[in-house]
Amino acid sequence: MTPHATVEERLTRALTRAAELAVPESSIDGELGRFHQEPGQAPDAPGNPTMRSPHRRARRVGVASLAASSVVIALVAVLVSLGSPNLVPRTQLTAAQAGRLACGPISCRALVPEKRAGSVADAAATTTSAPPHLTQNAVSAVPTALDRPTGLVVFADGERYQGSSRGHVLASTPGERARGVVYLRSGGATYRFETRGRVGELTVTSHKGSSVELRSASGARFALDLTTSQLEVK
Amino acid sequence: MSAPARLVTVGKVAINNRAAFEAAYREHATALTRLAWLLTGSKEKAEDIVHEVFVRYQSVDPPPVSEWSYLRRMVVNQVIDESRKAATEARYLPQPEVELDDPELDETWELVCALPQAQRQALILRYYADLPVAEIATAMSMPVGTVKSHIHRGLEKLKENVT
Repeated sequence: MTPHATVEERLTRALTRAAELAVPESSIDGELGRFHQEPGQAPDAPGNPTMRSPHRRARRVGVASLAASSVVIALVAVLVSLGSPNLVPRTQLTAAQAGRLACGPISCRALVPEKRAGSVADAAATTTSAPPHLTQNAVSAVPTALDRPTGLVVFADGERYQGSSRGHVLASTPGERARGVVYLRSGGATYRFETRGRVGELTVTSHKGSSVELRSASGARFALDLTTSQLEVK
Repeated sequence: MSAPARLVTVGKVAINNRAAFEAAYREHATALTRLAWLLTGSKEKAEDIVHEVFVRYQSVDPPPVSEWSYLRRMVVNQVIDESRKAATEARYLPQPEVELDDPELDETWELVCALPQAQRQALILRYYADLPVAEIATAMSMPVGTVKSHIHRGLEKLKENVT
């Protein structure tokens, strides 16, 4: 391109070059064959040149329909998943399930303080309570104190809070809109607990058995019973 | 004496010279597809349009004086017709994504793609298809003054933004 090329010249060259690249010389070679029509061939027979476009349109419509169907199926799947084990309603959570959610596959009694790492029990806990980002099991255990800082994600009162299983809130971002609902996420699964009332920002402080202890920003302490979804002030 | 060209019927009109038709196709189909691609932004749509044009061209009798001009006008008219039918779709044409391997041409091409559709089509018809303004006006069903305005504004935008 010369430095003195006018805009019109540049425009013509750009259009020509783009068209040449988009439609190479050889790209229409096979198309001519589609015009060959055998004598006596029905006008609407496959291969009739006049039918090409409708066929292609039909194919495009088919592809579009398929895509639309996929979207619908995906939406349905998402809706269905709200009631699936990936989001367990409180009424379906047995004491055993709640215990596993709160404490992992091993019981709280088996847990040992972090400073005793290295013991057999500690090793077992670490192995069985893998951090959420390392596990694909939808019903895996809530991370324990040993798994920090991977955490338990708590959603409550229309806000989303992320906290470790035994620590402070790490992040707070707008997300969920439902009030009075506490979500616990663990191992890729989200558990929904419909509590009554608004408690504000929550921090998971501890857990035992089938309950999780939470603390609000004001310092109030709550116990969330995972089997009943009752959020009790302690 | 060579065998006569096979007769092919499309509808009720006889095509009496397949060889001539094939020659026309070989000579013009690529250029017409490129023009249609520039105007539509879709290669598939461009191929459809060119195909339909040639289907209809088979029934043109007598043959036009200027084959190229005639076919080009058919393609432009077909594109404009389809643009009108699918006004919403045409307004949001996908941007033809090609790399021209030349920074200046790439810049110009991107600016062209960003133009409003009427300006873009007017510029393509004027500077790529080399159509006179009056013919563009007929094809786009616009007054000559409007076409001139589209071309002028399109060029002004390019001049303002090219480095």
